[in-house]
Amino acid sequence: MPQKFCCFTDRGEQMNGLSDRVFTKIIVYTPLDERILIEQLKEGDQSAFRKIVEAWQDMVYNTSIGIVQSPEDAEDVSQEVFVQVYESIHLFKGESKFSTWLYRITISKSMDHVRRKNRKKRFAFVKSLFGEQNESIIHPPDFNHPGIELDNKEQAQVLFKAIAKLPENQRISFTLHKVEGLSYQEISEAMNTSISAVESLLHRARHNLRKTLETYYRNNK
Amino acid sequence: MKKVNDLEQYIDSAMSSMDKVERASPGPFFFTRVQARLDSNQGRNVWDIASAFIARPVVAIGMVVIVILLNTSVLLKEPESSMVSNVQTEQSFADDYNVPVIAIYDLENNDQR
Repeated sequence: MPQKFCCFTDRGEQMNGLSDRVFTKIIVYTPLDERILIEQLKEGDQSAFRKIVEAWQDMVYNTSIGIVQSPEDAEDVSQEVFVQVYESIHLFKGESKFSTWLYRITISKSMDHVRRKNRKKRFAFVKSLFGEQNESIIHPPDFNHPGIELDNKEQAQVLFKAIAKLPENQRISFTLHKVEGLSYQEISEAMNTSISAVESLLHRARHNLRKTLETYYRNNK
Repeated sequence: MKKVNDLEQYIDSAMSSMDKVERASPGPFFFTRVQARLDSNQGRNVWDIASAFIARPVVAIGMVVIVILLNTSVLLKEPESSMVSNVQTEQSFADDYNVPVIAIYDLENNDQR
């Protein structure tokens, strides 16, 4: 069993990872440093933007990949998120945490992407009725999250398939909770809703997922 | 009974498969790609932005609906205003050229005489 650990370098960078894997570097800023970076970005400082991207790129990418379920699409959405951050940083008033603001942009961009993809899928299906084949859009390959342990890959693939069938809010809350490991409080802030609403969403998500998985395993085992 | 237990086991195992998930990271040089995208976005002129905005389905459909509504409202109002203007034109024409305009009540008045 690999040991999980983390440590800080003298530059305030947090190193964490598993003993048998490649290190991932997480840069953690104090709230004060965060505010300074945001002020610098508002003044158009490129190095501040670079620091912001490097500090939050994993968070944005991981959230996005959980929702859009495709590495290429998640990369695309993450880029869009940071472009949006650069262009609308003056709208960030500091009333919520910067990470909450980022989560909101990421969720909104990711869901836009999912809706656009679903529209394309429907259109491709209609086109296929008239003889034009577009298999890759109608039946995309199964999604494998890169952070899932090898032993759980197969089950996680089935679970992600079931998550994709959930209603939007249940899908978002479940993904934030499971993939990003956010607490109910953090999810409620990111989704701009109450904690009890998040509890209810997660309860319904689990119930629906169990039903979908039951149907899947009944037919396939 | 065993089958039900097996099914429950499969479901539980799938539900807990994401418990130890690690954070996924984008590929290397992510910032460079963001920068390139930002530069390409900033290179767009006003017409590119305007045409992209107009080409959005919601905007395009919305504009079509507005045009149809405006046309409908104009068509519905048209008969009243055209009648008024016709009468006015007739009267002014009669005044300008001194042409007597005979109305129905004039004929009735003549009959009575």
